Amino acid sequence: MTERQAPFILFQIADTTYAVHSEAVQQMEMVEHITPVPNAPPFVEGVVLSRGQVIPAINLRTRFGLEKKPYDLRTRLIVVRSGERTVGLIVDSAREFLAIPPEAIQPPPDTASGMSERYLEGIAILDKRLILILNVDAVLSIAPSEELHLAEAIAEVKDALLAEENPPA
Amino acid sequence: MTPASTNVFTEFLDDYFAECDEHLTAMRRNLLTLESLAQQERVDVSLLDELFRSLHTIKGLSGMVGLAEAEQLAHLMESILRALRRHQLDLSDEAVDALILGTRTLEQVIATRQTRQPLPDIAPAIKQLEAITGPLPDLPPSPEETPTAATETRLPLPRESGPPAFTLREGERAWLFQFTPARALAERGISVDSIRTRLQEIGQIVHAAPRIQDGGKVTFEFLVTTDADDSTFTPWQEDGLTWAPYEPPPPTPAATGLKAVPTPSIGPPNVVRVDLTRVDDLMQTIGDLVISRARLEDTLTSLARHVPAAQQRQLQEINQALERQLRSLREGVMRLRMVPLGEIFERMKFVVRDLARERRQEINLALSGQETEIDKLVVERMLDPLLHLVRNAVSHGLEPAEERLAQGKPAEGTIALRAATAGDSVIIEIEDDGRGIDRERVAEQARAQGLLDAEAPLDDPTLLDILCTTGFSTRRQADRASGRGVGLDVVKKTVEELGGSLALDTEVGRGTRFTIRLPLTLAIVDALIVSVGGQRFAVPLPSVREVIEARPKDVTVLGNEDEMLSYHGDVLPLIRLAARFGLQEQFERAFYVLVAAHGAKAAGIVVDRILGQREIVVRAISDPLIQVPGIAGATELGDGRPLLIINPAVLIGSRR
Amino acid sequence: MSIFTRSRKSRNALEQEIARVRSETDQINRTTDEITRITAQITAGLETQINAVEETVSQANEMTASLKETAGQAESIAGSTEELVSSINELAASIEQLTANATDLAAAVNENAAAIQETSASIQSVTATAEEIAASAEQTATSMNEIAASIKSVSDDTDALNVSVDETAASVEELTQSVQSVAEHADDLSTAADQTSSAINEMGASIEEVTAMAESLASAVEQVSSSIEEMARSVAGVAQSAETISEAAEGSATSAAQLDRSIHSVADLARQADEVTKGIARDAQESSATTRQSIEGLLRLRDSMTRSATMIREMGKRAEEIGSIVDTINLIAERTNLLSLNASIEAARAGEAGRGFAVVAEEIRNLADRAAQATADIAAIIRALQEAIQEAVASANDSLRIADEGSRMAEDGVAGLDKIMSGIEKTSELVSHIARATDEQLSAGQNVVSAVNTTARQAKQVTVATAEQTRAAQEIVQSVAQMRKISQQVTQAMNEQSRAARDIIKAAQNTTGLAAQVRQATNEQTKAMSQIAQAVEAMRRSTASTARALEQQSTAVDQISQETERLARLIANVSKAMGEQANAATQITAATENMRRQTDQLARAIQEQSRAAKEMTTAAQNISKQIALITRANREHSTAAAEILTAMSDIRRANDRTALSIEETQRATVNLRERAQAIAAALDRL
Repeated sequence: MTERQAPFILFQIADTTYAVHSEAVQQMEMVEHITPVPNAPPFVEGVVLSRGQVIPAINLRTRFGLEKKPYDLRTRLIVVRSGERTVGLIVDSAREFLAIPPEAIQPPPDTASGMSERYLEGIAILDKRLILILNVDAVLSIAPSEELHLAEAIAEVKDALLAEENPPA
Repeated sequence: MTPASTNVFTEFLDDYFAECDEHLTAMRRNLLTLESLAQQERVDVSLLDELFRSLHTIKGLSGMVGLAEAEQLAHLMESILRALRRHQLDLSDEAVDALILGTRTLEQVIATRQTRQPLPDIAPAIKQLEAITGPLPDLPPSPEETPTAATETRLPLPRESGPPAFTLREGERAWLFQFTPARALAERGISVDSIRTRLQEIGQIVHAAPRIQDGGKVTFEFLVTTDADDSTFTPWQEDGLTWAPYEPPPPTPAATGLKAVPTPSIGPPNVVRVDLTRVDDLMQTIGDLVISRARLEDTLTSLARHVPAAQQRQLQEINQALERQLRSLREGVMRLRMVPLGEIFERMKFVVRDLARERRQEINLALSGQETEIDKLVVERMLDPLLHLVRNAVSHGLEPAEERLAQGKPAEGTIALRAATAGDSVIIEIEDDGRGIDRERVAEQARAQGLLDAEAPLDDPTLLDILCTTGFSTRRQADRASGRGVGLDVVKKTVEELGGSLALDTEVGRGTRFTIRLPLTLAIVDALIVSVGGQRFAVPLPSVREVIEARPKDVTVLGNEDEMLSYHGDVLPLIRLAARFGLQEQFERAFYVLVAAHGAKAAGIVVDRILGQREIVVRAISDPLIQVPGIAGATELGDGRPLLIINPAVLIGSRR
Repeated sequence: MSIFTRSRKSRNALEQEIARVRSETDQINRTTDEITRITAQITAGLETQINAVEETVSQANEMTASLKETAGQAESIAGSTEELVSSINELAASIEQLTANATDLAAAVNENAAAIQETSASIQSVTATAEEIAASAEQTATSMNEIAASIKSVSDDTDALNVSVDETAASVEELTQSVQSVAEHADDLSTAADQTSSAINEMGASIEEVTAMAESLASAVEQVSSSIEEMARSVAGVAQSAETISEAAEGSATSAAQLDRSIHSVADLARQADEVTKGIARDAQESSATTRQSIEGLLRLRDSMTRSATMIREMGKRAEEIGSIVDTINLIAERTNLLSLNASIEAARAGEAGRGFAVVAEEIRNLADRAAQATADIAAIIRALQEAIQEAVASANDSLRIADEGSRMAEDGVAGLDKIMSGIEKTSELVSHIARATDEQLSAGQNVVSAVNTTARQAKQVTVATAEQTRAAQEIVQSVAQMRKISQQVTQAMNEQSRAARDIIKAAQNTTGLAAQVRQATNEQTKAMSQIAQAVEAMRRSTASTARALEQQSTAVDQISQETERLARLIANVSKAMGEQANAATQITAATENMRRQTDQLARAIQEQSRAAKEMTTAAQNISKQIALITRANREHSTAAAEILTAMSDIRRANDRTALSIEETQRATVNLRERAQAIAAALDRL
């Protein structure tokens, strides 16, 4: 038997599709009842009760240095586990459960900032869709004070991919 | 291995660890007693027996779980004890040391097995033990030494209770035999056991018990039911056996007078061991019940207008009954989780003993309040911090003997470990009579590290804050006692995570005292629900001394913008929760002040409104992202919205 | 001393002793015998005593028995005596009753007698009165006959009177009839004149002057017509004035005809104007109706627009509802998606075992996505629909506003039209009024003409009638010979009337007032006439009734006489009977007296009897009392006897006891003697 197709949860932030390993995901929820925690880092929206557990809810948009967006019907809280920690990630939407064949996954391209390598496990292109596979552990382990300029990193990644597809004449 | 068998095995392992833990605890206690008896001629055999039984059980169980290292250690220690019992060996310091090392190694082996970590090196212990047992032939254990009693003592009859009820078959009579062993008889091969065998041949031993006679002689009583007549055992008179027909005593009324102090039971109490996770599950369910009841009460309140008064009253009564029952259920389950602090204190004895030997210093560990009970989880979490504080007291606190003598102190340093219950809290104190903390040095260091303003004074809370700063150390190099495991920062963090507080008192030349205040239980607590800046918070009731209503005009603002409130003829510094939490106060005319204390320091915490009082189920906040000073956890009132629980002591203790 | 000696010595002493004993024994014996003897005597005495006692007892017993018997008898006597007393009492009571009855009877008899005497006396007085009546009745009869005769003569006189009154009445009636016919004509005339007058009044004739004058004339006529003679005179005047009236009537008829013609021409003109106006009104009405129809159409249009706008809005609301449902569906779809994702996560965690579940979760997610897509499509449609609806609502609102304005303007137009209409209608109405007024004028003119004509005609008839009247008046004058004075007065009055009438004709240029005066005068005349006729009639009636009364009186008198005669006869009979009755009464009185006497005697006798009975009772009571005394005494005797008996038996018992003790004494004595004898015998043996 060849290497199994790893299942992922796909989610969107600012029209970019990301993936997290399904096994890292404890469960997914709609965003309800977030209690703000005073003096917590800005990207921590607050705490939520998830299966009797008090966990932080992180706004990935804020974490990635993007503008906040009001919650809507599609906003999701992805409860992920990272080591001993359980954290909720707020994303624009998450509607897909997808098995990505290993051969479709490639390492993240080298970028100028080198940031993508830090928190991207790899990228996959499926049916012409670009999927960025997020390294949750890495994202969570980065010190709260450190800013993640993901938007810029994404732009870099996309540029890099574009350059690959259309090599300069 | 099939999953099912895995589960069975896992459960068995759990049992194994639990049982080993019990026996190791008993062993530690007994070894310390034994140590005090070293060099003496007579050794209390029962002490040795008990140690032997514990070891024997551990050996057997370890064999069953395939923990050869433990089995080997236990076997060696058993041999030493056997030799001691047979007076083939004197109770020397070396022997005791070897046993203590063996026990500690055994403990480590079992602990690492439990945490699935690499096993420690048992070779040193084996070597030391073998150094004692070496010349001894490794005799197979004789039958009478096989401590079958080890299993029997699992559920022994309390000494005070009489013989059990028994039934006589047709033609049978009950006889009470008494046998007093004597050397002469023993020489003839007549021992308790041979008597027992004889008696078993003629009938059934219903009950057997030793009786201590005047002069320290021990007489054994056997209650035997038999169809043989007394002619059968008439010849046994020569063998020191007396008998009489036995009539069961009339059932004594339950209250034959209160037993003043229960004789400390040497055997384990009549207990059922329950996995803590099951108690946790139960507590969780009770927590859910508490929330459901709170919701029921809310619903009842909103229904009040639509329900006739009579029914309303009835519903209220039911609700109140439910509350009472829930409370007693909760307390019952809480008691299940409660363990005496004595267990943890015993470990400290061990630690202190080791340190004392290592440092060649006489240390007296004064314990008090061992019977104080506290939540099992709290005990577990507090073990390392306490160890740290005790080690700190030894390594940083106590001066070397000559220095002490020079200062007119006794050479023997004293470390006091006290525990007491105060309301819903438990207070643990760790005090040494050592040199105290040199403020100036700490201040200097702190200023050098930018932790303290050049001008700021260094009072006790500030001192504690600095000492608890991660990475702060005044020692050039960490020695064994203080450098290992956790630091003071972890101690403080752990205490605060548990919803408690840590305080420090120190005086140069006189000593240092750490005071830890912990909640009795973590699970459920009565709390005030308050609102600040439109957000609700819960404040555990035990930490609030008083609630007062105040108006802005009652507040005096000092030069440094500190706010004060006149309180019982004194001034009460105010802490504005809204300001601390970056919220906007939303009170009309009057606000409320929760008076709370942290050690000797009292302060008022300003909130907008008091919404009510509720039983809350405390849920810990474990993620570092949301661990904020002053917030002890979160709870939920039944609407799915988390509520943050405030720890007033931390708010008061920490500087702005 | 030897024994022997001693023995001897004692023997002597003994013997001495024995001798003494013996003597004593003897003494005892003797005494005993004595006792025995005495005892025997006592016993004998006792026996005798007992016997005597026994006897006494038996006698006492006997006495007691006889006493008891006596007592029984006495008691029975007492009982029977008591019975006797009670029966005597009863008797006495009955006698007393009887006595009372007798006394009552006597009293009654006495009363009876007195009554009979009174009756008798009254009968006698009646008889006397009857006799007197008889006498007076006879006198009455005689005088009655006289009265009857006188009444008859009066009756005859009255009859004659009656005839003459009748004649007078007939003449008056005739006159009255003629006057009435004049009055009738005058009425007709008056009616015509009234009509004329009222018509001419409208055209502005100066009636008031005439009226004033007529009033003064009226007073004159009144005076005139107060007597028949005045009337006669006036009738001639009437005749003349009637002629004048005729002439005047002719003249007025001519002028009336002229008036009529001119009125006709006015009426024609008015009719023409009316027709034109009506035409205009019709046209205006038609245009108004048309306008109204168009307005109504406009209003209907607006209504339907409002309805459709409401419907569109409703539709908008529905669309919104659908929108919210779509939202809900969306939420469900999202939740389903979420659930399926969670299911997928769990399934993946379960590994191979979760594979099937994962597939299902996938399917569910696909379905949810499809549902989400479908709802998104629906949402888009709904949005488009909502926009369309918004537009529709907007345009509907616009057209509604325009329609509103149009209808408001149309309503203004209708209001203007309405004003025109009402103006035309008012004009038309006025013209109509004019036409109608001229019409009325016309008919009034015609009425005037015809009234004038009628007046003329009536005037002629009046003239004729007046002539007849005159003739009748002449006849009246002639026929009432006995009422000459009155006739003259009438004639005079008639003359005055004529004169007055002439004055009227002279004074008044037209006839109206005059006619009224005439009518009034004739009316009054008629009234007077009828009063006269009534008076005559009354007179006639009273005369007739007097005659009738007289006749009746006469008849009554006759009857009275007859009755009186019969009365006299009866009274005679009564007198006779009364005489007999008086006789009988005297006899009865005598008999009653007799009876009274006897009754008295009876009463007395009974009283005596009663007294005797009372005495008897007293006696019996005495007896009874005495017997009671006897009985008591007897009882006392009896008691005494019993006591005696008791005493006796006591005595006997004492005797018996005595006898017994005596016997014992005897026995003792015997014993004693025997002992004594035994002693003696023993002594002997010594």
